[in-house]
This record gives sequence, C-alpha cells and structure tokens, in this order.
Amino acid sequence: MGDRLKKFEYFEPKSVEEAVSLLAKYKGKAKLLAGGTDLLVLMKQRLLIPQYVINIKRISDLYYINLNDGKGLKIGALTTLSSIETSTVVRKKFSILAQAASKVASYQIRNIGSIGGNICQDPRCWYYNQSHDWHRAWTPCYTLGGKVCCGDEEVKGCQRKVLLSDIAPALFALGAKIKIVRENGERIVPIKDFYKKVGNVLKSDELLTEIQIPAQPPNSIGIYSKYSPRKAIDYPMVAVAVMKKIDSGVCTDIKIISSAVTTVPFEVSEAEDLLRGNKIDFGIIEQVVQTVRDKVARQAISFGDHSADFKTEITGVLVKRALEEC
Amino acid sequence: MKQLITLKVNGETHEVAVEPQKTLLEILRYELQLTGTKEGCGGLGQCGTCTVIMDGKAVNSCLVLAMDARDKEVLTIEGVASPGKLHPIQQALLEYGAVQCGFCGPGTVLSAIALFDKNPNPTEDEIKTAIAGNLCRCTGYAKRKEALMAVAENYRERKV
Repeated sequence: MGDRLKKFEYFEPKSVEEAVSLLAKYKGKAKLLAGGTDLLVLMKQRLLIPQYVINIKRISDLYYINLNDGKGLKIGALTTLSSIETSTVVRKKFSILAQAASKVASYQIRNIGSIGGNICQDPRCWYYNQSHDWHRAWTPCYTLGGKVCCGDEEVKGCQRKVLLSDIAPALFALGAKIKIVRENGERIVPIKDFYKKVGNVLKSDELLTEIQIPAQPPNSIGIYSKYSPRKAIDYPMVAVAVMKKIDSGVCTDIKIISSAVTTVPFEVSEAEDLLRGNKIDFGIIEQVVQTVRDKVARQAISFGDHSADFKTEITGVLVKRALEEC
Repeated sequence: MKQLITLKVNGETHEVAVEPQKTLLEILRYELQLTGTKEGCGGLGQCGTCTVIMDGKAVNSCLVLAMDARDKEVLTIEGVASPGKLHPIQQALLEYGAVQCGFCGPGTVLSAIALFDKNPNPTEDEIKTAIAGNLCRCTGYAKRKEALMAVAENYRERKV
C-alpha cells in the first residue's frame, strides 16, 4: 500500500531558537508539526504538501501551565488539550478553558492535540476539506489555486472558511494574548487581533510559543457551550463563550462570544451593553438573545448541511442557556 | 531517508528503519505485522479503530508519526491478553455481546484499558467520554457501556 503521507524532509529542533532559525531558512516551504491532529490530516488529504516538516514536539520548554499569582496564567503552546482539561488550576480559576478543551474531538485527539495547534488550526469549509479523490472530480477553489469559492464563481477569493476551534472562543472571552517568536524578536498579540478574515496573522517564519491569560475578577463565571451534530469527534456547528461577572445579583461585566458562525469568532458588544449594570432576568435575556441573533444572522455562513438560519437559531438558544445558568 | 529507531511495543524492543512520513499505525501494521490495530477512516482521526496506548495514554496511531513513538511504551491489542486468558475488559465485552463485526473492538478495548488503568472505578459519564472516540457502526454503544460498567461494578465488589 502507498504511503498515507507524501515524503518530506524532516527536522526535530530541541529549542525555540533552533525551530525559528529553521523556519527562517525554509521560509514558506516548511510546516510546523505540533500535535499533528490537524496538519497530518490536511497532508493526508493532499490539501497541503509541505517540502519540509519541522516537528516541534521535542522542545521540552513549551509544555507548561503556570499560574502567576494575581497576574494570570501562562500556557506553553505544546501543552496538550487533555492536560488543560484536567489541570486543577485551569478548572478552578479558568473553568471556561477547561470546558472548551474537554469538548474538542475525542479523548485520543485531546491526548496529542496541543493548545497552540488548536488555535492555529486551518479554518475549514465543506468544499475544501475533502479527500484528494473528491477534489479531482470538482473545480478547484481559491485555496487550491482555482477560481471558485465553495463551488461559487460569483465569490472572489477564499471567503467561507470557518475557524472551528473550540479553544479560540474561550480565549476571546478570557481576553487572552498570544506570544509569537521569530528569529530576531517576538511580539504579543491579543487573541482578537490574531485572526484575519480567513486564517491568522502568523507569518511563515514565526512560531506561537505561549498563551497568556489575565487573572479573572472574583465572582466571574465562564460558560463554553457547543452544538455539533455528533457529541464526540466533531467540530462545533456553532459555539458560544460567555464570561459574566455577577455582584449582588447585578451583572457588572459580561462578554459574549459567538463562534463558528462566520469565518472567525466575534464579540457581540451590542448585547453586552444591554446587560452591563443590570439584573439578568427573563425580559433582558429575551432582548439580548434577539440582539445576538440579529448580529449573527447578518454574518452567518452556511456550512454544508448547516444553514445560516439554523446557526442563528442555535446561537440564540446557547446564549439564552448560558445567561440563565449560574 | 530511513532512520533506525527503537520502538517498544507490548514490552518488546524493536529496531525499525523508518521514513519520517510513516505513521505509527503504518509501522505497527506493515513492519511489525501487528495487524490487530485497524485503519478505519483512512488515517484522519475520525474513527478511533487505530487506538493504541502510548505511555499510558490512548492515542490515534494514525496521527502519530513513528518518529514520535521513539522511547515510548506502546501497547497494542496483541499485548493485552495473557496466554490463555483474556483481559477482564475483553471478557466483559464478550459476555455482554458488545462486539458484532469486531472492527472497532481493538480500539475500544484499548481506550477502556487506558481509562481503567488510571481510574478503576469510573462513573457512567467517565466511561462514555473515554470511549466516545471509538466509532461503532454495527453493535451500537449501549452494550459496550453496560459491559464496562460491569467491570467497574466488579472492581467495587472486590474492594468491599
């Protein structure tokens, strides 16, 4: 039987310095392999055929979950999703992140998939993420060098690939920052600026090394909820991340993130404004849900069997439940 | 270019020459002839039939490069039973009729072993989560779950 993966030249750097110098050397031709649960699949489907693969798993410095008292949490990019899901610190103080990690794919995938890889995962669409044989029978899309988007000739450029990360919306809600290292420097990017309309801002010579999460105020509750047709081994059809701070019955701070409905997660600030300073009761929840639905309806992208209308409907339900829950 | 690596599978050490693009699954099946580990979905991490235990954790061997299994302890279905005696999890699945065509069996057994090794008295939810990554297309999940709950029950009884 033939190889599942095409041949590539293989590197195993032991340090961040070594990894970024390899990235600089093979700029644009190399792919980073972390957990591999996203990259290897894309390579098997021949959606990516990298000439060089830089396996960073042996960089032992990138596995950690550190709580700096009062200053929040730092997580090494290679930390597996299962270590995040089971970490006492994360479960206690940043519960929304543990919830999101526990909802990714399957046990087996969480055991190897990394947090860095999860947020850098390739956005997906029903047309692009298909097998090689499927693509041979169809017109290639922009990402594959063609001139259609999801089979549509009217749409110019790749417009409909949706980020289906479970971790990203939780990090939006927590106000996380991403540390990115290149050969002669580094930069820190807030998660909301990390994504472009399609894809992320990482350049081909850059390596994501750390996720930084600020300390969350007392009395704040985070809820990540995901709807997917299958309960396991599935991407979200829609997801919602809500962080709310309730002081003596009044909502003093709130974040509502809608994810998987359009290419990137977004904050519904119009709905947050309605809640801030008010008691969360039945009447206000109705208004908030309507506001969320209006905003989602304007941007939702149909994804295979999941219509934009259905996504809007379900997002409303998830927001409602998250607000009702204490 | 092939590289000579050492793989520890079911307690035995193997020296294998591998190309970096080979997955652990390919090496297990085609180099070591351990064909109990199955490939179901085409190596995409969607079905769990290729599940093995690597350093105590259940993983999809189709998504692990053989290079990354170096210096790790790998357990496949061939290493589960002792001569003439099935593992208690295999025995329970058998008794509950939880295996019809059997294709998902090896992966399911290993996911369950990874759970019970860490947590011999799991709850129903913990059992469901642990085997949620192993798709079954014929028997369904109820008998599987009941079998594993019986294993947990048995453990509780032995403890008392």
